[in-house]
Amino acid sequence: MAMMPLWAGAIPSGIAFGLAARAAGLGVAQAQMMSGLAISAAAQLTVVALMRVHTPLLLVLATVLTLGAELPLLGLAIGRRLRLTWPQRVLVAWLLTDGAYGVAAALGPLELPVLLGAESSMFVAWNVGTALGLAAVRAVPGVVGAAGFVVALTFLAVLLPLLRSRPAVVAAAVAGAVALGLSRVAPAGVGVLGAALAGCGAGSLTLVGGGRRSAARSLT
Amino acid sequence: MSALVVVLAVAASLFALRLAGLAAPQVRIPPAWDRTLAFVPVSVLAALAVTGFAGEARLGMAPFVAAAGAVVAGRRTGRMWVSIVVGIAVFAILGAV
Repeated sequence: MAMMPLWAGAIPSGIAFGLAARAAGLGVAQAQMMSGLAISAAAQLTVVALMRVHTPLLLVLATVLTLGAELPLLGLAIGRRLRLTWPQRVLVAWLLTDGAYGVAAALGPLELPVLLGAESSMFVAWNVGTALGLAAVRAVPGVVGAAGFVVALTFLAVLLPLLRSRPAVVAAAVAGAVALGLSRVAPAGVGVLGAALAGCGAGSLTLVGGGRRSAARSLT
Repeated sequence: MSALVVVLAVAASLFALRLAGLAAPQVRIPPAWDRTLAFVPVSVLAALAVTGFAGEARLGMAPFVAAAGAVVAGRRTGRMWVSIVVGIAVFAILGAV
C-alpha cells in the first residue's frame, strides 16, 4: 500500500516514455529493454528527448550523468545502514530509485527485504507503464505526433512537487531561462548541462544567502 | 548512432552511479557538494520542460495553455498523474477546437 502513490507517478510516466521512445525511433524491444535496465523516468525521458534532436552519444551520457549525480548519495545512505554482500549490492544498485528508497526508509529502520520489495514494486510499475505506452502507439499510431508535448508535460509534472522551497524555485527559474537562451545557440545537450550548472549555482547561492539572513534575524 | 548502443550505455552509466555509493559507503561528501547536488534534478527538469514546450511552439498556444492547466492541477492536488491527465485533456480539447 505504501507504494501506491509512487505507482500513480510511475505508470503515467512509463506510458509517456513508451510513447516518446517510439517517436525517437527506438524499437519496442529496445524501449522495453531500457526500462528494464535503466529504471529512471527522468533519465530515460531525457535520453529520448535528446535522441529526437540527434544529440551525440557523449552529450547524451554527460546529461544522464549530471541528472543522476544524486544517485551515489542514495547508495552511500544505504551502504551506511546495511551490510551488503557484493551480489546484494549489484541487485540493490540495479533496481535503486529515489522513490523506492524513500518509501523503504520511511517504513522504519532500513531492512534489505523491505528495500528490495519497494524497488521491485517500482520496477514492475515502471515497466508496465512503458508496455502500456508502447501498446498505445501500436493501437493509435497518430499519437506519436504528440510525443514532444507529452514528454515536456511529464518533465513539468515531475518538477512541480520538487518546487517546495524558494531556492528550488530560483534554481528552476534560472535553469529554465538559461536553457531557453542556450537552445538558440548550442546543441540540446550543451544547453541542458549549462542550465543545470546555472540552476545549481543559483539554488545553492539562494540557500546560503537565506541561511545568512535567517542567522542575522535570529541575532536581532 | 545505434539505438541499442545508447540503451546499453545509458543503463551502464546509471548502474555505475548507483553502485558507486554502495561500493564505498565510507566516503564523505563535502556539505557544499551535497547542497549543490540537491538542485540538480530541479534544474535539469526545468531546463528540459522549458526547451520541450518551446520546441512545440509550432502548435500555437495549445501546449502553453495545457501546461498552465497542468501547473494549476498539480499545485492544487499535489499529484503528478493529475497534472499529466489534465495537461493532456486540455491539449486534446484545444486541438479538437
